[in-house]
Amino acid sequence: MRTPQAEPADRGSLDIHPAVLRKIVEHAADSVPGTLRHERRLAGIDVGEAGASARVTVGPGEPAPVDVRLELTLRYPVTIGNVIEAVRAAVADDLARLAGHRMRALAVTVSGLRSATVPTRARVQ
Amino acid sequence: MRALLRVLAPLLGLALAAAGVLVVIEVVAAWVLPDTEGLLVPWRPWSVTLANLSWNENPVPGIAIGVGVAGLLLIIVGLAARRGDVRLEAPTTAMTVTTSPRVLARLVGTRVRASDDVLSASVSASARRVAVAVLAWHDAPPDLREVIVGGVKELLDALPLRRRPRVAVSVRKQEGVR
Repeated sequence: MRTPQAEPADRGSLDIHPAVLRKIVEHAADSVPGTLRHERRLAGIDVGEAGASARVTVGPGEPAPVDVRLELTLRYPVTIGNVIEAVRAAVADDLARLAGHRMRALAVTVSGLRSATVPTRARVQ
Repeated sequence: MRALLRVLAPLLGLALAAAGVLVVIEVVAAWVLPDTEGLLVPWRPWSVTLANLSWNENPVPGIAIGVGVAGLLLIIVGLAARRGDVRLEAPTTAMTVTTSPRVLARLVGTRVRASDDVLSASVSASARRVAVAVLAWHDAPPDLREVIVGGVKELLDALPLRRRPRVAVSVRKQEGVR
């Protein structure tokens, strides 16, 4: 005789690692027009590019609230407020849609304001 | 202050770690060789000296005052070494948006150096003040300072700063031909 199965919601649990949430946040921020990828340098040596970097803290509750600290480089000139608002909306939307988490707080640090193309230095010939 | 804190923190950490290692060595040595007076630290003579010392004898008050003053200085350094972030206007109250003084200084520097009359410029920025020191060509117009001040103020107006910093510009002219 087979025992009746538990309700689908009671058969298991899903925990999403904060590293995954961090990746979701960074990807969402990088996808917003107006944010820039910036070069990474180690001891003055170019070691590739990096986009937004995030730190995520998951709090208790259902759905679990998420506090996000985000560091990003923006294109300049640009309306910073509009880009930040777009980033907030994108991050909150992706966290809710992909992971079922609610963004409770967002702290943004603008670590750079740069033009999209680096001007070439004039050379004397 | 942040630079001082960055030097002090690892030094204090190393000192504490070294003290911990010494304690471990002495404890193990006391277990293995109970009759020794300390392997690296002569703690038994120190213990005898401390046992014969009262609170009002020299140098106890001097050492206590010195330790208190050192602790107070460390607290002051720690409190004064806050990050000098520049606050920006946030779209919602649930958000905080900041940038670093370095970003602000770079923006101002790029703007100032764009002028053909400017040979070089150094900028220091904080949330309260932006100071620009300009080295101009010898034939720069006399109103160059006002032009630069206007340009910097225009730039600051375009940024969503919570508090607009004061602008200070000094201009020095380079001798010789351009």
